[in-house]
Amino acid sequence: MTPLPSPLWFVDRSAGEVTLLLMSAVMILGIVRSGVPTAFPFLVEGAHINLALLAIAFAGLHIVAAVLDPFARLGPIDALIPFVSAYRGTWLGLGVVSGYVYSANVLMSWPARRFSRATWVWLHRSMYVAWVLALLHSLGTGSDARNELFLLLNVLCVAGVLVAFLAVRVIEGWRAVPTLWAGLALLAVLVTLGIGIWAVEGPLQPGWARSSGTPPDLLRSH
Amino acid sequence: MSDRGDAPKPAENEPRTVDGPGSTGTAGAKPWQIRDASDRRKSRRRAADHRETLRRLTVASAVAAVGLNAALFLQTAVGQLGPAEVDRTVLSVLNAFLPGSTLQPPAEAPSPAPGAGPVVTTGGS
Repeated sequence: MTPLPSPLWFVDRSAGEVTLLLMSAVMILGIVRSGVPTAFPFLVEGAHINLALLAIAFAGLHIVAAVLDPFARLGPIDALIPFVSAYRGTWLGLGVVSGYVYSANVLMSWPARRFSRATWVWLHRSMYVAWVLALLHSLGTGSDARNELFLLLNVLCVAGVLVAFLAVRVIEGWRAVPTLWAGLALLAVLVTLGIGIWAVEGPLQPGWARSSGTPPDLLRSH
Repeated sequence: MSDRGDAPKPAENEPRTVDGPGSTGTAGAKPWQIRDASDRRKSRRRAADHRETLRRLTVASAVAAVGLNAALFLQTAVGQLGPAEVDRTVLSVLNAFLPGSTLQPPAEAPSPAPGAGPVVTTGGS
């Protein structure tokens, strides 16, 4: 008999989406902080840090709910080691890697910045990778990619980060090294387009649950 | 008629001077020192205002995140289980936290709307 999802399964899914939203807000605030350092520095940096810590709380809820929930039969190993899960292993693994990159960023930045400023700035840019991996994880593993509300929130996250990057970071960097920032702007647009095309061809299509690696006994239909 | 306001205290009418009644009480302080002290006070006040704004912003964000989490929880649960099952789930959670409560799920599941077809769901999809 197909097991019915428990409340934890829904907590897992909702907390995951809220984590992505908070991560996106943290990204936008970080971009504003670095691109316009004079714009309310205390408020922007404070909000950036506090929301980053709030995102960790929701990511913790997301992971704990996933591990405790009996429906998808995920265990601590699945949450700690990427790409070994029987439940959508590839897409779940991207979330695990994103979590590690995000945690590393928090550890080297809070409560005090570690490394020299130049090194820290370069390492901190890996948050872009963490965010893209989290987005791919959300679309690929997420059970709600086709849910209108989840889809709207994901589109808002992508649009917010992309607009902030292009309108603040690229324009600010353009003055110093135009070629480099033109290339980075093009890369950002291409990555966004690529994710969009992949999402339309993959997670937004019927049958994604099967092709993404959901164990057959969890696929049920009435 | 009250004469309040007509006869201000002498100190309020006199210009702020280094050692005058309007000064900060730092006898012998130079004008630039008084300006610095004033700037420091303003800066401290501004920092306190910013801290308060940040605190409010953080609390509002946390409340909004929890609210959104609850809304998404209900939406996913209703979409997959149906309203009746969600009622039972929410009540079971409430009863777990409040053992003495007498909350009960409805005796009958809500009937579907006229013309509504069966909902096809995919577990874990």
